[in-house]
Parts: sequence; C-alpha cells; structure tokens
Amino acid sequence: MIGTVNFSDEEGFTFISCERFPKGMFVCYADVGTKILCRVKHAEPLKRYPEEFLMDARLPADDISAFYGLDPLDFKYFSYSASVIGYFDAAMGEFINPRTNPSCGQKIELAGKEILKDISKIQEGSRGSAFMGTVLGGDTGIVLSVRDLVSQHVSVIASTGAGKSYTVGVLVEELLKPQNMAPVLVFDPHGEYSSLGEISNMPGCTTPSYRPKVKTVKPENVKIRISDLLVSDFISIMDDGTMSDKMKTLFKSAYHNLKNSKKKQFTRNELRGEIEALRDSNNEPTIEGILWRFGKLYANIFDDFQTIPLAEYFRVGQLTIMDVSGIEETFQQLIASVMLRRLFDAREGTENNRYNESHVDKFLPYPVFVVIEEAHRFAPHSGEAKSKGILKTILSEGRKFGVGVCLVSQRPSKLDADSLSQCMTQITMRIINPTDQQQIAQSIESASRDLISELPSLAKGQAIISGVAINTPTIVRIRKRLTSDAKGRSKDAPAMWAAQRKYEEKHPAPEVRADEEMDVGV
Amino acid sequence: MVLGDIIRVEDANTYVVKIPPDAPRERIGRFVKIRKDDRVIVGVIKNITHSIRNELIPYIEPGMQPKYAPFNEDFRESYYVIHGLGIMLDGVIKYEIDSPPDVRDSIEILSPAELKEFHTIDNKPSIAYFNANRDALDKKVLIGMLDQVEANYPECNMMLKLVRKYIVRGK
Repeated sequence: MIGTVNFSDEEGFTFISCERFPKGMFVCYADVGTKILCRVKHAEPLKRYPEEFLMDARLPADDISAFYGLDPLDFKYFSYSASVIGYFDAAMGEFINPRTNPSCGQKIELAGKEILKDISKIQEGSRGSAFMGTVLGGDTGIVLSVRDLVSQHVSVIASTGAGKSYTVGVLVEELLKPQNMAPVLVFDPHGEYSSLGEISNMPGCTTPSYRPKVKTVKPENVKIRISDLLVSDFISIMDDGTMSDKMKTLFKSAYHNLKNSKKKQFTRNELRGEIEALRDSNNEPTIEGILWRFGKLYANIFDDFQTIPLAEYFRVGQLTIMDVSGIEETFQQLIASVMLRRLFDAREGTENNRYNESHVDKFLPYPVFVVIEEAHRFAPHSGEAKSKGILKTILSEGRKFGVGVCLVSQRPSKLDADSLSQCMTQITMRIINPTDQQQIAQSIESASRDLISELPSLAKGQAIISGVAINTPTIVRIRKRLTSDAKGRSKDAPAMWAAQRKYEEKHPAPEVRADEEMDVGV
Repeated sequence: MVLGDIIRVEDANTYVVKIPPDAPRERIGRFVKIRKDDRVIVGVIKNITHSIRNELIPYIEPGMQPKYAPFNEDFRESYYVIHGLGIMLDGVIKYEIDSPPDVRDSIEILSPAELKEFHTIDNKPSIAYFNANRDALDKKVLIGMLDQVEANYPECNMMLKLVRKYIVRGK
C-alpha cells in the first residue's frame, strides 16, 4: 500500500502518500477483487512550510518547524491527483473504465507487473511485436503492435536533442527483428541513419536462418525517371516565377501529346521533340522560353531510364536507407513525391489485382513501412510541397493498401495538421515550444492530453507513447539502441576544437602569403 | 516574587489571579510559574483586567469613599488571566498540562534560568508549544513571549527571528 484516497470527483480522485512518484506513473486499487489501473496526473505537497521559515537558507526548514512545534514529517506527504484508466478486459483487449472512482479511504497500491503488462497490446518477442522500452519508474516492458503501427501510421515528434532519431532507430531495429522482418525504407534528408547498417550483424536481430539486409542508397544514386514526373512536377521544376501562362499551356500540350501517343515511358529528348513540334511563327519566343527552362531537367538527379526501383528497395527483412542529404530541398520533395506515388500505385494496383508478377517494379504483394524524417518539409502546415498531396493520400488511404508511414519531425506546428492527426500511434518526446505542444494536443487522443504538460520535462530518451498500438498512453523510457548512434549525437565542439588544435600543432600547415592564397597577382 | 494568588481555575490552561493592591504590575506576555507539588507549571500572562467591586463606587468622590465604604480599602480589583503552557518536573519538560493548579496557588515570575530550562528539550532549543497555543493567544502575547526567549536564549535568535516574522505576518 502506498497511499489512501481522500477525495474524488468527476475529474478523478486524490490520494495521500508519503512516497514520491513521477507524474504519469501507474497506480491501482482493488475493486471487488479486480485491479483498477490509474495514472498519477499531478502531485503537490500536502502541507507547505510557512514561507517565513524558508527565508534563511542557513536554517533547515525541518529544524525550524520542529522548533516551532510543527511535525517535520507532516511536510513529507504528497497529495496526488489521479485518473482512473480501468481494468483490462481480455476479451475486448482493452482497458474498460469502470465509470466509478475509488471511495474515500480506499487503499492505493503501486501498479505491478501483472497489470502493467496489459498496457502492451502484444507480448514481447511474439510475431508483430516491437519492444520500445520500459514503463517509467518500473521495469515492465512496453511492446507496440507492429500490425497497428504499419496499418495506421505513427508519428515520432520531439525537439532537437530529445532522442528522436534514436527512437526511430529503435523502432526500425524492432521492425527488422526476426519476429517482424518488415520491408522498411527510411527517407533520410540528413544522412544520419547510416549506422543502422550495423543491424545486419546484431545478435538480437539475426537468427541462423534470418539476417536483415541493409541497403544504403547514396545521394548520387538517387534518380528520378523523367517519365515518372507529372506535368505539374515539370512545371514546378521549370517555373522560377517567370513562366507565362502561354508557356505552361504549350508545355502541357506537348506533355499530353506525348502521353496520348500511348508511350508510357519517354525521354527528355522525346519530350523536347514534342515541344519543338509545337513551334510555329506565332509562338517562336514562347517555345524558346520553354526550351531554355527545360534545361533544368538535365540536372543530375533526373534520368531518362533510371528510377527508384521499388521492388529492390522494398524487400521483406530489408532496410533501405535513402540518403538524400546534400540534395536541394525541392528535389528532396520531388524524390519523396515520386517514390511515394509509385509505392502507393504499386500497393494499390497489387491489392486490386491490376499488377502481378509480370509487372516488374509494380508488383508489391506485402505491406511496407516508410519512415519520413523531417516530415514537416514533405507535408508542411503552410505552403505547398510536391510530396504533400501523395503523403496525405497515403496517410488517409494507406491503411487499406498496407503502406505504413512514420512521420518524424521536430516541429509539429509546421507539420500539416491533417497528416499528423492521421498517425494513429504517437511517440512524443520532449517538446518545449508551446505552439508545438498545442499542435500535439490537438492531434492526439484525449486520454493522453493529461500527459501533454509533461512534454517539456521529459528527459532525453523518455517518450509518451499513445494511440492504437498500445492499450493506454504511457510514459516510456526508450530502450537502448542495438546499433550505434554516433551520427545522431550532438557534437562535442570544445573537445573537437582541442583535438584540431593538437593536430595543427603536430602538423603545421605551410605558410601561404595572402597574395598567393588569393591569387590576386600582386 | 509573588504576583498574586489564583482565585479561579477556568480550565486546565486558564487561571485567574487576583493582583494584590501593593504588588508590582507585570505586562502581558510575561512568563510565570506556579509551583504545584513537585512540579512547576509554566504559563504566560494572557490578559490583565481591572474592575470595580461596587457599581456605585465610581459615583462617589475619591475623598468620600472611605466614609461610605469604610471596609473596602481596595476599590480597584485587578486580575491576571494566566494561560498554562506546560510543566517542568525533575528536569523533564512537557508542553501540556494534565493537572491544573489549585485556587490560592501563588504565581511568580519565571527566572531566566527556568525560562531557558523550559525552552530546552533534548538539549535543543524549543518553543514547540507555540503552534499548539497560537490560536489561544493574541499576537501581542506571542510577541511578548518571543521577546523574553530572545533575551534569555540568544542561541536560538536566528530561528526566533523567522518565527517572529511568521507571527507578525500571521493572523
């Protein structure tokens, strides 16, 4: 027993205890033999020291209280407000709120493993399980249902340095474990997930018959096939704000002419030829303007034949890290857009029997999971991004076709609200910005809003996990990552400067005269 | 020095003391003691009241009063109201009174040594009766008590300073 109920109302109940628990901690009480799980919402001292007794820092408050005739122990009690979560109904597979509060005088106890295990929807190690860590203040494991994660999407939201990439790393590790063997693609705008390559050799992730594969696609190898672009993509690439309506209309005509010629795939030269074909004496300068802008399509990222090979990227038990670091943000959006569009088409077509084994690179007969880092760039709250439309489509319809998305962002307020609200499982870590907190509060289930106030005070590696992949919102201490996290860590700048200084002392650089260095020919 | 005798015990903590006409007058908040058997009851002057026995006396000129009330030499009647705080018994201090004094018991001023003894428990300074008696005693009585402890027990002045602040800002 850790405390006694002294009050209850429609908001919940309060109990008194001399023990200290963090907010979000689980406690329980017995109701006709059934353990009812409750969550501590708020804690405050039951009794406060007179302020005057605290005004001399040299004097311990307990000493002066005892001197005055107050029992120092009285100040060691806390009043906790708590809310009832309910009892676990195995048949329903969820916690059922009894719609009653404990009566005054009811004894409160710490929630033990026997009830905390029901927070997880699935047992650790079983098929479709993702062990994310332990419940805060205990050692009970929190295991997410991969089935729910993949079908109803997940968001990982945290301010910088709170452990966002680390948590994504843990999630990816779990998805690639032998009990899941998921096809996972990480869209990595910063090139920070390369260390996940170690997963192939991690003892926890391999069995004698299974070893996850890791494929890292370097930025220079990421190509967009010209014929995969929509007409709107072409125009957005070419238009720097100076493209006239006439140019756009003519270009669209050329594009549609090429498409109507039943040619599914085409090259830049073929498209260029179609534009040229529209040339007449009235539109000479316009055609020249289009062709001049068409030159942008000869950037390295575009290719006439190479594309994002879906079947190669999405294989069971394979992690594909699409490193798009160093690529311009608008091109990153374009790559994401093309990849997601093709992926959705492949899954939708396969599910609806439009595609079969004969459709190379379009037949994808299993669900897949895509992690989008810096998701606010690809589905921004305000403004347009080429990838926003398809991302929203996948988030709203992907469940039917088995395309699971994990949106990762440090600025939820900059992320499209509809997209965020479609992520039915939320892994939320430390967030300090009030606007971001507000955005999260609006997008998550009401039961976990109690925990929103905890967001700024969460320690590194602690997360609030809520949503469909777990039975009740819980503060979780994320488990240790199997793979290293060197790239995700903050740089120890002073140590690096000292090391550089040491290096320079050992290897003095030859002196270069300013005129030589600058080649000004003095 | 005897300040007077108890003429009424109202409850375990409240005693009324008649002040003899020639006795020196003490002020509110002064610590006093009452010897009873082997114990010493320590209290404080909670209040001082003055009254007149005969309602007519105020209407008689002072020079004529011996003529009309020849057997009443003391026209004024003054009383201390004493609030009992605790007892000292063979060096043991208890901040509660389970047996009040009797009528006719004398009250005396508490000496500085006794004051220090009464405010020492387990070799530590203590005014632990303050909290229990705070509602029963006026602020000015409490401040008077603090003044005396401060004067006679300088070791606890730092704590008394804070308690004084608490009392002054309180009710």
